[in-house]
Formats: sequence, structure tokens, C-alpha cells
Amino acid sequence: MDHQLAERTGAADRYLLNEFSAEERAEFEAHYFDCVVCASNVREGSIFIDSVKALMERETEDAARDEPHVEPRRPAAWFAWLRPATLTPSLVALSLAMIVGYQNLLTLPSLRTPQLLSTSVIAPLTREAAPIVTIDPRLPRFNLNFMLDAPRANSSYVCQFMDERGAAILTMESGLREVSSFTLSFLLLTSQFPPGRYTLSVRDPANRSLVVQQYNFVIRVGAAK
Amino acid sequence: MLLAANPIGCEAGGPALNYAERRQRGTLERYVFDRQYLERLAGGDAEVERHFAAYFGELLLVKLRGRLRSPQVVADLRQETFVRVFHALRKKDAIQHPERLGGFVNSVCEHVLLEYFRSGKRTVQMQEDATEPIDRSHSVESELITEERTQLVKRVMSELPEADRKLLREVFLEERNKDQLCEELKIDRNYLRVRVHRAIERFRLSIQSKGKLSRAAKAAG
Repeated sequence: MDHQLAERTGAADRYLLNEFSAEERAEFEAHYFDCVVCASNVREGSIFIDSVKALMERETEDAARDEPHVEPRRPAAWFAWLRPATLTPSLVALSLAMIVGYQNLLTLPSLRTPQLLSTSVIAPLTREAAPIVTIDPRLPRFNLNFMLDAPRANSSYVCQFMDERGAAILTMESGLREVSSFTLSFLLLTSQFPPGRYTLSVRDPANRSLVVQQYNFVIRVGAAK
Repeated sequence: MLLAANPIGCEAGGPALNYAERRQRGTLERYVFDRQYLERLAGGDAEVERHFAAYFGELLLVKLRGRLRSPQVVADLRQETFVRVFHALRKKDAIQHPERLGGFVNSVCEHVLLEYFRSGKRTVQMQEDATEPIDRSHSVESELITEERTQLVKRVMSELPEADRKLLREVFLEERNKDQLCEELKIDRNYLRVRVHRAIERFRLSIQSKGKLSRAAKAAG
């Protein structure tokens, strides 16, 4: 590929948009490593795309954090029910009413309320400290995303979450995948992941002792980020 | 040797200034890749090393991220590429055509990638006689550059029509399938590329204007 062809065909933008075949990609890379103008186009385009992604992620997180919190309605006064003759059945009725009321006022609305999911992705074990995931304890579920880059494609993967003692707390199948590089996304129960350190092991279902990839992360509670 | 990769931007030609002067201008002028450049690089000239890392560091990052998902593997393979290039430079006449140093760096990176995919290893094996890495990656200058870029991009984004902003979000943040997106928006892939190109061009013009403003301010000051 020569520079005129690269300019005429908008090669830098097509490259950054992943529109090249493997051969075209190799050809353009061989060109831009020697061409100042095309290298500059690729560099600046890449900077722009990275910055746009970072800015938009920040906007999404800010919007999620600024969502108003609805205070639960307080139960009505029940002093009129405190008569000996009716105390026991009243207490039973009251308990049932409180359970149903809690579900209707807190749990179910929070399940029905639209929720922005985190787009942060956790990379496999790195030299840096385990990433900290902040979850909102008011929400019954939270999401985690993991970047998987396996040496070969498996038909599926077994995913096992362990706490810091090494005890397995959740095991799931990934479902049919047949690819080696993708993002694993989970929607998890907040109650199942109290604050602490965790590990996710992704294993080959045909040989569960073989760990394909492993991730460490730390759960903290607070305003969701 | 681990080199910092803090690219600022390149302009072709111009006299060879020292790194501090070029940094004040907000640009990193391109050296000519000749025999002298290679000798200075092999000899450990700090200025030339910084330029080399700045110029090729981000190009390698873009190339490797297009093939690999893991940032750690990308960092490792980029480092391995630098190590092997430096190892080659120290051999007499290893690089026959200095003006094609870029092509050489790209070829080395291709070999490193092929080895990684064939071996399926989780770590990259450094050469036995590789020199000890020196981490120059974090500096106040690099932090300033990142914030500067962010502010430029923010301004460019605020000047874009809402439809273009939405398109950039769907293409780059949500990584939506482009064919599906084009079908929804009733546009073809060429037009999608045009709209993305428009946004990137505004950013490039912003960088260039900023460079010119800095030079004008410097000259007036």
C-alpha cells in the first residue's frame, strides 16, 4: 500500500473502525510504521476514540450516581390494634402485612426500576492490585464484566467465583461460546457478595482442573461507580 | 529497557531541537531515521530514546490492541518488541536500511505476536540477555498530556451535532454491530465512516490549532 492509496481510501479511519481484512490490516500496518502522515492519522484517531470512550463512560457513571433515591414509605401507626383479645391474630396479620409491604415498597420497585449497568471490564490477573468494584447495597443485583482472552476457543466455559478463603460461592456455565476472546458479563446477587476479596476462575469444562483465565477483584459498598 | 511512551504529536521535518524545547512547543518533531539516529539509539542517548518510545510506543499500542483484548498482554508484547529492537540495534549492521526503522519495528512486533499466538502462553518470555527494564512511564508531563487531550476532545464533542455524538457512543462505547447500526440509521458503511472521520478531523484540527497557538504565544512572549 502506498501513501496516496491510503489517503484516497481513508485507510486510517477504516483501520481504526476494524474494517480491514487480516491481509489489508497487515499491509496498512507495514505502511504506517514508515509513513509519518499515516502514523499521525492513526495515532490521533486512536487518541480521539480512547478519549471519547473515557468521557462517555464518565458521563454514564455520573448519570447513574445522580439518580434520585426514593425513600420508602413508613408503615402507618398500629396502636389501635393493641387490645388483648385481638393481639395475637393482629400480630400475625401485621407481620404478614409488613412482609408484603416490604416487598411491594422496596424489593419489587428496585427490581422494576431501570438501572444503568457498569461497562467497566476486569482484566485477567495483572501485576497491579485487584480492581475495586463499588456496589450499591440498596440494589438487589450488580453487574461485573470480565475480559477473556483464551489461547484457543472452547465450546463453553465453567465460571467459578470464590471468596478469599478459597470457598466456592457460585459456579455457572457460560453457555455456548465457541470463541476465544470475548467479554463475560454477569448479573449477580448483592447479598451473595458481601465486601471482601474474590476470585473468578474460568475453566475448561472438559478438564475442570485447567484454569483458562483467573481474575481477582475486591467488592466494596458505597455509591455505585 | 522499559521506555516511556508519551506521544504528543508529530510534525515532519524541522531542525532537531532538544526534548525540552520540543515539549514546550507541544509537539514532538520527527527525527530523520538515519545511521546517526540508530547509533545514538543503540548508544543509549536519552533524548533519542524518548523520541523512539514516544513515536513508536503508541503505534505499537494501536496495533496490538487491534489483535489482543488483555491490556497486560498488550503491554508485555510491546515491551518485548522494544527489547528485541534494542537487542538488534546493538549488533553491527543488523538494520541495513535505517530509513526503514519503522518497518523493522513493525516486523519485530509481528514476530512477537505470532510467537504469542502459537505458544498460547500467558506470559511473555524475555530474552536472557535483555537489559533490566527501567520504568519511565509515569511523569507529570504524561498526566498533563492526557488531561490536555481530554479537554480538547470534550470541546470537539460539544461542537458535534447530537446525532454524531450518539453515533460515536454506539460505535465506540457500546461497540454495536456496525451493519445493524447502519440499518437502523438508514445509512451505509461509507457514510458511517464519513461521520466518524468528521469528528476525528475536528480533533486533529484542534490539536494543530493548539500547536499554532502555543508557538504564537511563545514567539510573542
